[in-house]
Amino acid sequence: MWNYEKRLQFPVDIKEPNAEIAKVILTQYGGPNGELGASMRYLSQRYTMPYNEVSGLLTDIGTEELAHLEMVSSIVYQLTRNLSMEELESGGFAPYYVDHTLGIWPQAASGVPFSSAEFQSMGDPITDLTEDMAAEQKARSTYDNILRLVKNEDVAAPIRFLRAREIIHFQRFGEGLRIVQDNLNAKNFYAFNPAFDRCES
Amino acid sequence: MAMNYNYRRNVNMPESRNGMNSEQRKMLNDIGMISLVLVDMTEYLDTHPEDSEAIDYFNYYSALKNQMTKEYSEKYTPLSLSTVSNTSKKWDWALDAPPWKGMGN
Repeated sequence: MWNYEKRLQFPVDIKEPNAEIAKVILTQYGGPNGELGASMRYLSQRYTMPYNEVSGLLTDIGTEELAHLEMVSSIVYQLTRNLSMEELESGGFAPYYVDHTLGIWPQAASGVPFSSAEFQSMGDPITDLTEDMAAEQKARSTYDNILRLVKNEDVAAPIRFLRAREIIHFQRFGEGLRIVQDNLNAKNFYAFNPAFDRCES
Repeated sequence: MAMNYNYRRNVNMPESRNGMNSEQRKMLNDIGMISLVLVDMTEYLDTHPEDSEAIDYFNYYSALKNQMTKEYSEKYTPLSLSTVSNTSKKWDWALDAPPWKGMGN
């Protein structure tokens, strides 16, 4: 169950539309390292996570990622609202425009649609948390790449905020992995999948 | 209705949250900052559930956020259904501009 708060996690107030930047930012909505994939990854993995504090962490970070995809979508929305036909065409936005007008749709910067093939839910706590740590670093790298391309402060400020959150989440998932390992046999973490195998007691 | 083939679009439409003054904007930003403290502390506490000092910190800011969102709702507009003011004659939750429009510059 979720409740909505009618505010963005970090303010997005963009003065000038810009189709070129919009195309690049859109990838963090529906691209391979984007926020939609991040949220769905954690919210899918949590069911078979056997330790309450770690499944709780997946729920809380997966929920925060929903707020992040709302921020990314808001940036794209504000970068494309009020675009003239000329700006839209010269910014290379015509292929997106012809399929979606200015509707917000999850795709990668390359135009590849969002797909659940971009994340895994493996049902093995060590595997899932290791993927989650990598996912946070992939998103952090993508935000670093965006910050090299985008100098407009109205866009860069919320992107820097999102980048910082990736680093925090990487830290938290590392702690989650440590909690999982502390519950396993220190001589062989892989002897037993606590999300599948059963102990004889 | 006849189709209008003139594709000129109205670029002067008011697109930001109407009439948000600097005091309202500041209050919304303060709520945003306190909310981030709570999100960050929640995730920290998930992996450090026995850190009682962190729990005190969470509780302090949680109470502050409740107080501020209640005040914001009474003064301006509700940010959540739990703070909808029951004295209002109209449904501000729906009528107020959505957050992705921005606060206006």
